[in-house]
Amino acid sequence: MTSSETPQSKPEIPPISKRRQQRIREIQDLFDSGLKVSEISELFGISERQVRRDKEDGKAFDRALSKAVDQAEVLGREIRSYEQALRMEWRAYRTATNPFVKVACMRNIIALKEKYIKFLQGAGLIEKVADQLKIIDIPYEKKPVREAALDLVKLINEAEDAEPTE
Amino acid sequence: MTLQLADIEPGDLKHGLLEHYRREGFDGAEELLKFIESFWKLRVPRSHVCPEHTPPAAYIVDSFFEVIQDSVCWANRGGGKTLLGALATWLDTVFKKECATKILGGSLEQSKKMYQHLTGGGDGWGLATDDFRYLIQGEMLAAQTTLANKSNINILTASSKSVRGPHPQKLKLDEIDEFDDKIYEAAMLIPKTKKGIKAGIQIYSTMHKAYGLMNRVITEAAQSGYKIYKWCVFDVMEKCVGRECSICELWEDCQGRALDADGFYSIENAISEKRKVSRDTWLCEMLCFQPSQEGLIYKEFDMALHVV
Repeated sequence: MTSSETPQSKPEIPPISKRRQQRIREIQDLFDSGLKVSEISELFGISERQVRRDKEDGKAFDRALSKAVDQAEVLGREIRSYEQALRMEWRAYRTATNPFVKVACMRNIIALKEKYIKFLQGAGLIEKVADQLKIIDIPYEKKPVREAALDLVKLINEAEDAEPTE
Repeated sequence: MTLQLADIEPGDLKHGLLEHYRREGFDGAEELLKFIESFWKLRVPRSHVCPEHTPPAAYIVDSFFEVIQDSVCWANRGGGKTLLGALATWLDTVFKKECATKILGGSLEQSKKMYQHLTGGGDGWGLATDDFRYLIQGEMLAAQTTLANKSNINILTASSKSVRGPHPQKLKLDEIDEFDDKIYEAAMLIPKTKKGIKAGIQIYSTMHKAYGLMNRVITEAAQSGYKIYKWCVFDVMEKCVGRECSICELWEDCQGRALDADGFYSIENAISEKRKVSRDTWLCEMLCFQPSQEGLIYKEFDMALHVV
């Protein structure tokens, strides 16, 4: 069973009163900020043993919370937002009439795909990702491809000329 | 989500195309002209404006595909002869293996212009852009530019020394009205067919002198086997849009032809130049009509009538 098929359940939080839960969080924060057990004990007016017990219960509390995170749901939400952004850019590319806007949309699409693939790699959903997306293996033997590439070169050269120089 | 613009890597795209064409060549005239327009932002005029003239694009295409061996480009001042000569040379050098070209200029200044069209110095167009740099071996010098495919270019000023030496396949002579007759004769023996590339002589010039070398070359063109490519200011003129023909100062010569033009020559410049020069100079230098008789002792002198 994959994590996405795990039925939604409430986190298994140890049976601790809300007041103590609050104290545990505060003690965790104080530990993180560098206070010693003796100092925390003095601060809350509890024994050092109790401070150590609270610290251990805090860890169990954290573990319970992490179990509540549905990884598949988080990943799915990110994937959906990438897909949506890509759809929007493709739509903008198709409907654009200005060639400069078309080039800008194509650049956005390439940038977006690059990030998307890196995200999928980071999530372990795909094994290998190129460091940089490059236009390779273009079938130049096909005349329409060459014509389109020449049009793009012309646009790039014109755009380079149009860029203001410092 | 914030989007960042990524580079398309234009260098990779251009490199890929360039390598394809170096390997496979061009699929016809249209593709060659499109390549020129895309890579160099140079639209070579294609429209047949004057019925008796040839569009400059025809010269570039015929030269590259070696439809002709020897040719003369007789064109107006500022008609792009030197630029097109540099372009034809650069195309041969980049896309043909072991193609050697020698360019002789009528003057040091003329040779310099040709070189600047390749390098981009001065007012030159700059055909050897960064996209082609990886092909150039060593430094790009006027005296010798060599490419990775063993093609090379020599740009020299016409002299008795420069017409001696190696025999390249291509010889280009720029502004031959400035040439000495003997140097011209010696230059004719320079080009030789080699490595599957046809030998060819290409001449670019206006006709300044009534009985100059260019006049002789044109007169003897048919006999010498030269094809004449002739274009005037109207053949390279920008398209005329929104001007009233009836009040236009060019109407006398134009007769509405500029409406079909697709070139680069500014109409304003043409009008301004027409105002400044004599009718003879205008006809000779800009419309390629007849050699100017200015400077001769008797303007009415006619070789056929007055020489027995």
